[in-house]
Amino acid sequence: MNRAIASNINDLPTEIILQILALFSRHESTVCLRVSKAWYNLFIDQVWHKVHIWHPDVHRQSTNYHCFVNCYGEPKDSPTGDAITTSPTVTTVAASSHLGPHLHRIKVLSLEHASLFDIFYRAIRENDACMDRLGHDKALTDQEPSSEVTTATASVEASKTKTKLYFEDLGIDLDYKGGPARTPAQVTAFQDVLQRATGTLKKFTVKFNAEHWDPEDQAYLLAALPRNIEQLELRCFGFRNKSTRPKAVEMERLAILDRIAEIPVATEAFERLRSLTIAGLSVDMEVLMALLKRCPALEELEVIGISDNMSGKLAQVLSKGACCSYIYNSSSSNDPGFAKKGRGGGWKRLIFGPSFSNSYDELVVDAILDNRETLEYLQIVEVEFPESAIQRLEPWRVRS
Amino acid sequence: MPVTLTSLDNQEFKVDKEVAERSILIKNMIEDVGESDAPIPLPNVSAAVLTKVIEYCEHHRNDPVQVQDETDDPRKRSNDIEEWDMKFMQVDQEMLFEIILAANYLDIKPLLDVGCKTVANIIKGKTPEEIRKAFNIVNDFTPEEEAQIKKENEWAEDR
Repeated sequence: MNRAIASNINDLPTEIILQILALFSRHESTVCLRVSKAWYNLFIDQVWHKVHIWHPDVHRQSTNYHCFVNCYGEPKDSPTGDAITTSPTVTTVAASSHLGPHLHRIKVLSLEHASLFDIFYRAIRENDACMDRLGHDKALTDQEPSSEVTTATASVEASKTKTKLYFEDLGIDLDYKGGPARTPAQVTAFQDVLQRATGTLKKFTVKFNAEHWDPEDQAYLLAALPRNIEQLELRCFGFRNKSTRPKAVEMERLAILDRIAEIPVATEAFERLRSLTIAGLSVDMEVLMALLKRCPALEELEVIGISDNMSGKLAQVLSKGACCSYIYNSSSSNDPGFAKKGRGGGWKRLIFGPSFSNSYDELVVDAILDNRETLEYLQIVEVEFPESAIQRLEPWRVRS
Repeated sequence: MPVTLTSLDNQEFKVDKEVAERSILIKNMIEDVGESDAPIPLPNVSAAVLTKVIEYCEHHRNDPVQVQDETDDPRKRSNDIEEWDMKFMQVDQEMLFEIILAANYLDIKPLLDVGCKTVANIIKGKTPEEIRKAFNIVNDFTPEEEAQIKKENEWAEDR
């Protein structure tokens, strides 16, 4: 039998190399890139695995991203986040040129400001153009010298080439302060990016600020809902104090979820959804129920911002099979196998809390306990329960 | 009850069953074969390496089964090597890689982890040139290529 001998680190099997790589920070990995060509190949995917594009002026807390690209240099040299929605600056061009060669390596992308999406899209388009040029040059080399028709055809063929994206997790923050709403071109660009990553995208997170919400952003948000995703997070912030929240904004926040639940394009997106997070929106229980009934595969639910104080309705949402009852009762589905896609089971992970201090009765506890066979994690935020209810919920982790 | 392990170079080692069973591979083999005096062949491990592996297993014979904390950041864990393990791993590079390979083959996860952390610690804090020296690696980049890689990736920051 041949025995594996490792006299050099490069001789170690790939799974061990990967285990060693996992122990490095992103900076340490970038140092290793420069050791040799073999090491470059070992480390380069890890360096660009997670990318968080941010701007100093709009920077908020980030969590555990290996790669953190500051696209604008020092704050003193850069325009504010509000002013960078259209014309790319010298620094944005430089940043996009660095992203370009590594686009296919990015699996997790987080854009901390809506306008930063322009940089990312610019990098993609530059890569497209580069591929076009390569295709065109190759066509010129391969063809007979007098074949003008072939040249033209090859050029068109090459222009169809698109940079493929392989990200699995996309997060975008739509916060902007008084800046323009998204233009139709930007909406198209966002859809284009999502289409390029259709095969791999599993998680999509959208954050937006209720204080600077523009109605046109709804169209942007809805158009952006990707298909085939398994995890969807909608996180709204601003107006944390309900008493200072204008009524119009309150209504708008309600309407956001309502419209998402109604749009036809979302039906396909919700079919495969395993995990749904709705945080910061005023969540009406009826609207939420309507939404859940379109999510037959849902196992995990996080709802922070429940607007009403009705235990009965909440109990309905939390009860076993709430997300798939519609599917089993539905006669509208033309797909005979559709009902089988529903789990018919209970929740695996539940996180919920009202938009203000609230209390619920034992109806809610009964609904939670209905899921005892499947429930692995339970978190309840800012809710008061009777002592007896807390004792019944003891098997799960409870925070108050 | 002792079991007999036979190395690549046909050297036999008698060790306590509980020590040998730190290796999941050997544990499964013993379970499959049942009670037997027949030596267990380990054709992928030399006597020198097996001696070191047995030394590790003897020292850790009473350790509880390792439970990995999924929430722990792996990047922070290369510094948490026990003092005894650190001394145990003070071997030449060839032996270090051989121990890692043996731990992988014999399925001794704690030993594999310590081996990987030791390699990571050799690399950490060094410049590319120092890493090349440490591992006897030839720089096959042109100066222009190396500069380009540095430029391309210096945009990225650690968070």
